[in-house]
Amino acid sequence: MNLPPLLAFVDFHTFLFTLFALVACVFAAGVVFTSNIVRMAFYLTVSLGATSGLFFLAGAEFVGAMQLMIYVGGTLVLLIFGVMLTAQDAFVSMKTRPSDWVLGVLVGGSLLVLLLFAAFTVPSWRPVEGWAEERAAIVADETQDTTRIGVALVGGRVDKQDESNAAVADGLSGYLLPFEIVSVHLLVVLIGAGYMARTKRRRSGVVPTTATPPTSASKQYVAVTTIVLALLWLGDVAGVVAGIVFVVAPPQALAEHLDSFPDWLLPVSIFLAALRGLCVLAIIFWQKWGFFGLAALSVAMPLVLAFSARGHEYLGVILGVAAGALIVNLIMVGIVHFLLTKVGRPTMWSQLD
Amino acid sequence: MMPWIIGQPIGVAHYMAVGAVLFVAGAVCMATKRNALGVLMGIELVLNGANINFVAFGSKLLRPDSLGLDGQLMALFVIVLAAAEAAVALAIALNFYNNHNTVDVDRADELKG
Repeated sequence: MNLPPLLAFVDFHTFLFTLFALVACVFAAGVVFTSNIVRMAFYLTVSLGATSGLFFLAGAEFVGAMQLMIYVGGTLVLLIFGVMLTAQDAFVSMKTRPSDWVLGVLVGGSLLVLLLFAAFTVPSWRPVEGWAEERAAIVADETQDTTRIGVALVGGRVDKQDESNAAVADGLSGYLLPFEIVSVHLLVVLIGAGYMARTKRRRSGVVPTTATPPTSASKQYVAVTTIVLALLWLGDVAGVVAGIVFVVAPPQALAEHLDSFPDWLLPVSIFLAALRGLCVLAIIFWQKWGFFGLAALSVAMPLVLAFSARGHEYLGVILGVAAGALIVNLIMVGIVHFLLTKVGRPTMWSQLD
Repeated sequence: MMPWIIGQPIGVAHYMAVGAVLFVAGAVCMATKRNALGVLMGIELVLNGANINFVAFGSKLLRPDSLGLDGQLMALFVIVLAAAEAAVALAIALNFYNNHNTVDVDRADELKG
């Protein structure tokens, strides 16, 4: 594939790894540092989803798929049900004592330093020089791990058949016994959990609280705002995809003009668009800073485009496009602002935090 | 800056670094949260951090002498056991909530001497 200069230096394995790793780590930290249990559940979902991306990237596509199906699709749904069943006002946000924070972060930080130090000091764990070329051959050749995992679970080791050491080969009997034990274990857990969680009579004197929902903005305004925000976000996604397609396979007529854009334009644009998507999500999840971020980024993106066009031969055209984008963005932000602050009683703005 | 970030090759160590961050986040979560469900989420994070290491060591794409299929199979067993553990722990938490009307682990001290 003949990539333009912008993409030539990008190792996509590294790029995607950085992306997934950052999402996983940042949202894991979010789980620790928020005290709202509902938000913790959401951050955990994102973190585990990004982890499954890391599994796909490491060539373990079956494990990645199972991570998505069992963890994100099953275990977390279970946890979120638990959150919903116990989410009374007093338990939604339980503050930790500052002394506990200091101690926890101190011990956790030391542990992190130790683990990172250990991870990067063992020579055979470091990146292998020149491995990228061989990796490409492996990717093409042997990625049918799903079949091997299936056979291993019923007792055969297709991947270790050429084991010459007879003593070791005898031990390679696959994972049939652990598989059976896990099956029975799951059955026991199913019965046990069902038995323990069944409804029992409540302790006397405890009145089941009828939860009164907090006053909320009229549902239709919330729906309209959500749709507007979703459209904004889809627009960003479409723009990013179009930008990538445009750079990977530029139309013949435009290819030469494209090279005169600086190399950083596409990564920076994608980054800004991703940030804006994050802000839109933040508004949907009732965060006030999302709106300020949205407004700032909506102004910043056309400015970046205009700035990148310095010395370009079609400077006027690009500046026109940037100005048009700026106007459209400002109109969109205005609409969102109007929906948030002016309509509905009480306004949605008063309910963001 | 950009070439430095996205031009470097990735090795097992990088995956282990992510695993370490998730593990520590989970451990701190378990230690500091007062909500029983928050503690459960910390456990999930810890198990996931360990899982990243298993998959990284089992990956053929990261280094020549990998653990092979064993890494992926261990990761699968961990995922299944984590699901089972979450189900039982959640049942216990709900039971505790039904009996004591709270999910604060600091108040689960009935057996305290």
